[in-house]
Amino acid sequence: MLTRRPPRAPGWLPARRTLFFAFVLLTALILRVTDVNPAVAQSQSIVAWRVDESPDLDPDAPIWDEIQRMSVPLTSQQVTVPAGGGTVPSVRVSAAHHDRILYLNVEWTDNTLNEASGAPEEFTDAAAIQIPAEHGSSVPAVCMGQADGAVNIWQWRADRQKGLDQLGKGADFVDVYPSTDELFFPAQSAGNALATPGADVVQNLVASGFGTLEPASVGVVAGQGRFSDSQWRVVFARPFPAPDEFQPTFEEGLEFDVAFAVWDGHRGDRDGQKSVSSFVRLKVSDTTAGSFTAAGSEGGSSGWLILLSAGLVAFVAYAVVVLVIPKRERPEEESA
Amino acid sequence: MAQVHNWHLGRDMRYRFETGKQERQFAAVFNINRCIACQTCTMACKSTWTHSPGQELMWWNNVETKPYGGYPDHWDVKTLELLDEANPGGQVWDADPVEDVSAPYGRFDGQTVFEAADGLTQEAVGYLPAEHEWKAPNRFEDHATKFPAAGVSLPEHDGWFFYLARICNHCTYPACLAACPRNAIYKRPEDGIVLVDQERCRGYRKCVEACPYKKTMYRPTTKTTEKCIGCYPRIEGKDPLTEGLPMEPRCMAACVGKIRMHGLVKVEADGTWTDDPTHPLYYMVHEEQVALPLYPQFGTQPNIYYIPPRWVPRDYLRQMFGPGVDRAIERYTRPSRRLLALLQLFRASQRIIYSFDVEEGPKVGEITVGGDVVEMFNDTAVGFDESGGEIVRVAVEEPIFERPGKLNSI
Amino acid sequence: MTTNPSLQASGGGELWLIRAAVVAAGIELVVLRLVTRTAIHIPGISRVESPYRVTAEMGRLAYYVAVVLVVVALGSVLWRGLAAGRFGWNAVAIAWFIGAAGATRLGLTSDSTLAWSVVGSVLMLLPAALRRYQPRMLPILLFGMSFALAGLHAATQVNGFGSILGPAPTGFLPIAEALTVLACIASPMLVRTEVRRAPLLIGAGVALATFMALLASPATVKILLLWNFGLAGYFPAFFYAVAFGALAFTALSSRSTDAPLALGLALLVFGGLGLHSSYQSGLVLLGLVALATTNPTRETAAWIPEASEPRPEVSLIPVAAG
Repeated sequence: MLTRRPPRAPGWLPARRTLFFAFVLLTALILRVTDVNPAVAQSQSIVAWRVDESPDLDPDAPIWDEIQRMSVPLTSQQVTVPAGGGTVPSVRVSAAHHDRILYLNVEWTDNTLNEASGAPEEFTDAAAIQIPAEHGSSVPAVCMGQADGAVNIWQWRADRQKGLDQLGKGADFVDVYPSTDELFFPAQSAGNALATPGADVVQNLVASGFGTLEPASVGVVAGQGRFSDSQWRVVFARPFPAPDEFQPTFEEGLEFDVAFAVWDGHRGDRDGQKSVSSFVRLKVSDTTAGSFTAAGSEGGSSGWLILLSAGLVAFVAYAVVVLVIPKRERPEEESA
Repeated sequence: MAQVHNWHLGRDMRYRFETGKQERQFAAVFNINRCIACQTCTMACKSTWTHSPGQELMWWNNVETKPYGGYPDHWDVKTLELLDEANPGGQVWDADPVEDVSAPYGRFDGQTVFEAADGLTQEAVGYLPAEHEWKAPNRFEDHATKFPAAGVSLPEHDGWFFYLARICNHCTYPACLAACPRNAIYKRPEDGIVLVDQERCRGYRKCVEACPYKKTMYRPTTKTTEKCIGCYPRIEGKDPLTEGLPMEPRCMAACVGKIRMHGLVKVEADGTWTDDPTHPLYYMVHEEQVALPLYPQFGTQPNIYYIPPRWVPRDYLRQMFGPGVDRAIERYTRPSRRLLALLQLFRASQRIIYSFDVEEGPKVGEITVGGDVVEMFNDTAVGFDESGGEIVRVAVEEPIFERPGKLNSI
Repeated sequence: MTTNPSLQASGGGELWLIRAAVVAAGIELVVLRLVTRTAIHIPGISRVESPYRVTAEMGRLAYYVAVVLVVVALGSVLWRGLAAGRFGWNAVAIAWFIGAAGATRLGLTSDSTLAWSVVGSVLMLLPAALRRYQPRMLPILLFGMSFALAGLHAATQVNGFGSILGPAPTGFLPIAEALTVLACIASPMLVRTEVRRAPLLIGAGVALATFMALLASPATVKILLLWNFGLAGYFPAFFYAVAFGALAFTALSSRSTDAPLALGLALLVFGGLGLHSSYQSGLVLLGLVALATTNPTRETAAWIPEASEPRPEVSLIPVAAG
């Protein structure tokens, strides 16, 4: 063993280790200032492939059959009041873009169709996509963003799709109304977008923390949902360019963070009572879909079994070779 | 979470926000003994504010028959039950009333709607009534507990019912406000009126769930929740009738039975009322203690006070108005000269009375109450506006006018 | 032997660097992952916005410092292995990971390559760590299996590869979490010294605190577990309490006598399970490197060049001790 002390620099220079830490700190500062993050978030990526035909807003358009859906796990929201949700275990998401419009297709299982919110105790099924306004390396808090990091939220609601004119019909109204001027619909005359008939099916919202959700001042997100066989499938679509600085601009080759939320109206889900995901990566690809094909599910599982078994056998064999041979018998330096 | 003082409970309690500093607080006294359930107040409100599509089930003012009635159905029993489930057997008062504005009814040792809530799924314990529960506001109207063949007599009737007129209590610690995840509900600093910001509301109905009095209501045609607005344009003096002077809300002004007196009381930073015995409401609530809050144990410090019905069994009333019931009924039954005079000011004017005085008059008679002799004097109560100008004066004895025969034109 | 006790404890040349990385990653974990994410939920936080922003900025800086330190530490291990002319599995593993991470960052390779590289690197680094703790290697084996499984889950979730194999089995993460919890519970097996009172008491305290926290506010604590350590909280609170207690006991017991163990465990935990940024994968790999580093009081790790040999002048890293 060597008992050498760290080499000392001349008296007026700091020790080399101090110098080294200064170097590390400086590098870190430069990375922070330039916003260059050397690390990669490598897990779950949803890839928005470029497609040759427009999927439009049809959740069952044939093009969606060719794009693999990624399963994004959801959990109940337990961070702020009102907590709840968690009854929808996952959403299956696929993405595409065509003619500089981004399409996201969100699918989830819901055994009950709730598209009315006319009675005081009725709540609608809904889904939302959340994307940080600023494309960058530091991701804001996944729950509604934070003060220094706004998020753009697109919320699709089944009751809005059903149409406002369908609402309030459950109460057997037979009254004659003295006035139906907008004045007597205060929410509407106050400019509450939610209360405005004929407004968009998908609400385009921004938030920077709990309780700060507001309609985006500009920009329209299109959307359409379809319910069949206990499945909701909802397509969201928005052109690439951001209408303002609170909404992301999409570009081919860039990556974005997206999070998903689903409300099950049957369970009284609304607001924070929802099933939510963490952020996952969304890559807007510059590759055209079709260079790969979707897998058959049967082939998939047997493929898995083979791969796993092979991996396990290889690992056990390797471990036995390395471990069974006693340490002493092996040379000090291990060779490959 | 902040610690705030709730003088109804005689103790501090947990609330989401600090006590707001208000100049005045919207408040009123309802004398249940006089209510005849004519529903004029209800219709005055309805025809002013809630007559449009989507507001069919919405009655910001309602009059229900207790003990069975309720709008929405059994709202109070359901909330009491939730509290009892959360704190079994613990919803009790340490009821040695202290003569003090910070604890006039003793101390409540149970849990408020805020304290019983988990603070994660709910800010306040509550439930969301279903549509059918809002549909029959007059269910069980005039239903007595029974009809004793022998009739009934004071002090407690064997078979009984009474009418309970209700509006939003514009609570000092509103559960609706605490429950709104968007902070779309606010309490005005100038008069304590609690309002739903119709631009921010997104119809989550957490306020409907949380309000123990169920006075926030969902409107399907706008997808938002609406509630009693305390006729704030009238409070602000915007009704042309009073030419810019503060005016009582429609439901108060329309009261045929003269059960209601409305006012704006001065409050301290901790939510207690500023000592002011010349204010009619302060006088009834704190000096005479004849008017009591509705279900004070809910913990929201409601601001509509009730003179309890004197014929109703006391245990029922104590559950509804707290431990101050016996004293309130005693003082109402054998009123002081000043209180008797003040009771005449109810509904004497539409303008808001800020202070009152009593000018003494001659003794006009004696009545026997429960074996005691009570003297009556023809005193005159005078109501003043904010700057001390006289608004109205009323004597205890109703003046009698004889019509001169010559004027008969028939 | 050097007379400086703090230098005595440092093993391979990188141990002090690893220690620095642990400190930086620890600060990042506490400030960035924990404080700034939870503080926004405190009512009235907006009133102290500037302290909040400063704190968040400190956390981000700690993150970048930790990233740089992890890269330098791994690079240093690799460099000295190569410089000494020893091309072990470990050098291959580290080179593979750094190469894949760099290439992915530059957009040259796909995410799936990186994800599979992490799985491969973990499996390749594992045996060296196992060898060192032979025969009491069960906790290390469990940790390794757990990370490999979580990595496999990540790899299969990456769009593109999954289309060949079909959707991944859903049970990977719960199994991985179970293995991690078991590894933590079994970690005291690794302690080679006498059981001392202070670590035992602190370990018991940590277990009790975890248990009480999980009982008092299960939802909040579980979300914190998920955010910070990638643990979803599938199992009863008791297991997590014992796991964290045992881990604290092990780390504290071995802090002075077996620094590589304490540092390695810390890095594995800071790296978290299934959080899968290449930074966090780097923490895990560095943790495995630390575990494979032999305590200088015993012997030098087999695959790290003898520190007693004359050091090549090109080394960036100052020599701490031999």
